[in-house]
Amino acid sequence: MLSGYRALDLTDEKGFFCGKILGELGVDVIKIERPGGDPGRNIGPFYGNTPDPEKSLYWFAYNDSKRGITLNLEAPEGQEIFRTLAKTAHFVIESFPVGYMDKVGLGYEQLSKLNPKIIVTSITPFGQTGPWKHYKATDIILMATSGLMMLTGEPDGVPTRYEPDHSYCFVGSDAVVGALIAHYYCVRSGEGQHVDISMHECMVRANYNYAPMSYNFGPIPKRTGSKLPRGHLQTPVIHKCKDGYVSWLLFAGIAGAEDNRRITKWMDDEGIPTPGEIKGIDWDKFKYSDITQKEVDLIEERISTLTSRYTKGQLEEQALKRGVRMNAVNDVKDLFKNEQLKFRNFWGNIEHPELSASITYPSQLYQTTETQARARFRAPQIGEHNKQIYEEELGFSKQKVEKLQQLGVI
Amino acid sequence: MNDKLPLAGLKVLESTVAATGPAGGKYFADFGATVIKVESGTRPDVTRLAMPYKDGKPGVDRGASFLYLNTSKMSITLNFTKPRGKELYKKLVGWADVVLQNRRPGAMQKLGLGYDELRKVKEDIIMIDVSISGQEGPYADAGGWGQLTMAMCGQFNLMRWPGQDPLAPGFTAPPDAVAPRFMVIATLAALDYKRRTGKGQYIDLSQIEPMCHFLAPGILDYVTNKRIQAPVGNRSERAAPHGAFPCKGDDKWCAISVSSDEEWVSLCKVIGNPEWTKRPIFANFESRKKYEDELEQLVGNWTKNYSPWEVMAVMQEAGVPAGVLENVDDLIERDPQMKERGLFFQLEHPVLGKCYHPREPFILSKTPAKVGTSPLQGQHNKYVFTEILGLTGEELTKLIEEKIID
Repeated sequence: MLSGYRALDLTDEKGFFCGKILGELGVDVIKIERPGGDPGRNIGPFYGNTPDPEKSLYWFAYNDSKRGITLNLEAPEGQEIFRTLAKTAHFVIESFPVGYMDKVGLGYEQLSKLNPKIIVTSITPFGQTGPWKHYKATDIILMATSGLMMLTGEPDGVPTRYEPDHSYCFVGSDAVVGALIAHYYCVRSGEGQHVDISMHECMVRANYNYAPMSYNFGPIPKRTGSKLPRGHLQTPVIHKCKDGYVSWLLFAGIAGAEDNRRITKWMDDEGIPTPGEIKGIDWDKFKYSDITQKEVDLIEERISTLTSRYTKGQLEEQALKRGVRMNAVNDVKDLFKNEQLKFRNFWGNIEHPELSASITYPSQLYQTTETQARARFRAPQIGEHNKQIYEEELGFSKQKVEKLQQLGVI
Repeated sequence: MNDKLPLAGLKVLESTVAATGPAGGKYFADFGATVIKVESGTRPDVTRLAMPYKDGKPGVDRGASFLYLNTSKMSITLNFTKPRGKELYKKLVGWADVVLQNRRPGAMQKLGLGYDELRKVKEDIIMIDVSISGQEGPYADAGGWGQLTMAMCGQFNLMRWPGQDPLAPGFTAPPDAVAPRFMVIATLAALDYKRRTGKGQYIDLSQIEPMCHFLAPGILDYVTNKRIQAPVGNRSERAAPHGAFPCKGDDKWCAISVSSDEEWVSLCKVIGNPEWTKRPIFANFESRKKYEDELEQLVGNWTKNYSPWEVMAVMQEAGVPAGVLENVDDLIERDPQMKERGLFFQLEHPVLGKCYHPREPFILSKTPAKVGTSPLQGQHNKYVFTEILGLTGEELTKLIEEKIID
């Protein structure tokens, strides 16, 4: 979709996801690692459970569809090479501490003099400005400062983060959005720009609008365990079944009417008695404001009676037949059995010749009537494309490359 | 049209409901595209009828959810289930560069407004349909919510402490927030492709597929090592201590995450190098990880004497990642970083009054977003039908009488 464009990816794990998405869309993404390799290669899990910078599944997962070179940005020769590459690039993505790129002479102002169309996307924990701009963050710090943790967990328990780590992927997606909006403007105006991504802000916005909305309109949401707060009510999101859980949610209004009718019919078919208090609810007119928590609990109790009779697989199968919006709470093993993903050709095999393996990846981003949007090839090995880029593209002699290697530049 | 906005000149027709679709359209509108949201008076967007309302009083222009998902857009009310309504819808497609939809799979086709029909109106139209599981396939008809995507993709199963029930993410579901970002990504990529090739396209975006990419390391671990990732609560394989620590006050917490020996030494210094920090069981990462229950108890004994803001400040100044578990008031009133960078600002709405809004989470140095408040239902009927589609005032009156514009 975006072939013909080039991105130089200088990020650590905070920004891997951004380059991965651009790569899957067809951009020529060149991952630039420090000589010896990016520290993100030491993040587990590992292929065959063997810690090895060439076997990190974390690295594989978020760096597919990129080429890779090594380059020391601290060395003047390295900086010169980067400037040469920047002239050929449309995007630079980086996640260094605020001010680092300027310090090594490769900040937006400096690069835009060489290439006025360049779009530099900087990903930092708290943004390029402000009193916290030099503060550090990992996933849990962002989950905390975003307000998300205070809303997740048992009412009297410890606030809990989302698992697995989410923030770096959210941030990577936002970075692509920001870069592509800047690109759209660049096509119109011929001008590049600097895109300042604050991970903190991305995570505040990962929960839509809850902060200003609750601030202006109330109520302030609290932790509600595995229930969803809805005004004065709380409704369960999961129900226990024979071998785990399924998810089904009570919705009022048009959004839920049909589903509520169908699941009611299902429970009637099962001979599950309807308590008097909830008999004869007209689902078309059903509103949260008209119902008490006790009545919600009675409805949910009835649904739990239904779910407790079957396994999650049986429930999902029946739900699909009956058009009820209920799904199994899958683990990764169940995910591979999902017929929908198979039907859509979601999975893709990627060759890893050095491991003598073909590995199944989450591949498709979305379907389109034009070229594909999916994982194209495996993540690069350390310095794998040095020859391609330095010798074949930039025309460095073999001797020059060897010398640069000896000097620790590449 | 503000030409300095990055997406100025882009024309988007949005026929979406609920959260995911409108949230995607919001990006386009806030960054300068002309976005016409097609609603219907007889069947308004569900968020117009969702709590919370201004002063608790229901009304299509009184709902807060709609306010936050539809900023900077124009609203028209067109009943496109009627033949004349369909005609007008198609005229708008002729005007648009992009059509955004998230109705239940098949619903627009049934009305004769699917991609094949719209393509006859405009050959190079870019149309995107967003759904839970995709437009076709065994699960397509079921539709659903973000929480169901979480269940299917394996995320719910991991959102818990070992041996406990899965937790609901407060307030909303991550897939609902992920899909809008991919709506923008797919659409902007398609626009660039069209500019270079002349070809439009139909994009079938599901919530579940991008979400599975978020979970990729665990998926590859299963594929290659047959390991099923176990839930860990607030713990991390890569850090100890790592969690939310109790602070002074009611339900006050600060997160701390220590991933290196250097950070550990700094943390010990911040808390005054008490004797226990010198115990051999805390001497290296592996051992700290092994004894993390005890370690976190001890760290918590220190944090509980201070406010979370104090803990965050002293830790961060010493180079230890730490962050206040902020609540809504903190984000809007106290967080100095938010204030300095202006993530929240106020907009006046004719019915709802002055309300805080967030800007998008990235700052474009030359072309920042300009957010306008959300439209009243049908606020732009006159402008859109007369100025954009060129109908006369009489024709407009007639359409209103016939309830085509409702």
